[in-house]
Amino acid sequence: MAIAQVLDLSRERPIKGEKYLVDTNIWVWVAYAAIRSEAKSMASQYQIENYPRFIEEALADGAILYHTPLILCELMNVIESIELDIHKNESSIAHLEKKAFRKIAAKRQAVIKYIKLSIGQVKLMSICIDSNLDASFVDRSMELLSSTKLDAYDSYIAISAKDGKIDYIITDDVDYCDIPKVMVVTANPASLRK
Amino acid sequence: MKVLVADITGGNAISMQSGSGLYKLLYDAMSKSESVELDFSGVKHFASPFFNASIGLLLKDFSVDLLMEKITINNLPEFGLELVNEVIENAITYYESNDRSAKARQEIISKNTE
Repeated sequence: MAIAQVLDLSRERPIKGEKYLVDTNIWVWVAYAAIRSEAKSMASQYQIENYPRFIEEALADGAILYHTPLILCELMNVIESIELDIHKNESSIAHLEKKAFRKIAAKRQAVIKYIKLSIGQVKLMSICIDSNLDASFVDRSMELLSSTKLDAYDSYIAISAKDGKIDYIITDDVDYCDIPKVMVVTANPASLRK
Repeated sequence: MKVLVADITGGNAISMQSGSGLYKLLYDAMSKSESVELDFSGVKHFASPFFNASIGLLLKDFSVDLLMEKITINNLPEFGLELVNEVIENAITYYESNDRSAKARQEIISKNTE
């Protein structure tokens, strides 16, 4: 049973003037997957079609989209992890640490290129919420972490949304459905069943 | 032919669906060997799914040389041009790799049906 209000992205129209925080996974499909076919092939069709369309509608309808510095940080991390997986798959390597991967100059250059292009798109479409990552922020994140199944990044993102007075979170992550007083806008069938 | 992209997408060229609208137009023009000038005046936001579904998809049927010869892009910021170049590079790799896979599959089929 979801505590958050879960809204079906394919049926929702973005609200003019309303604030929406866009989660990291959405930016992966909107900004990165379309310039990296190997990453695109890992996504479901609804992820690469529905989320970019909603982002487009939101901007056209005058909604305001946000990201946080932590979302950018997580996006950079996700891109590097996917690039490492692609490299391991292409080279038939079973095991390679990120630190060793970073030492392969051509691969490092590619990772930085994808990060720059992806972050550039995020910044073009959305506004950064500047979070004050002080002790109180960490305490509140810890509290949320202990009462939900969110990971650390997500709990920080949820607290940033709360501090920024943003009620709507666009995400594909089912764990956000457990956050009280949040409106989750999603196309994830598992979240919509909650 | 000059195409004002904002006439198709409005100020936001982000989704694959918007990209498909431009793709049909570009495909028709390139099939007739017509040149197209894409004018991005009035497009405030853009993203890679749009470029992938419009320009990138053309590389399935046309060579990159023909694409460069027939399509010119104006009034797109430098970052947008970087993105278009990356989409083109990615599409070339993707379709070349698909061709190689298709040829390899064909060779296997031929070998096994001789």
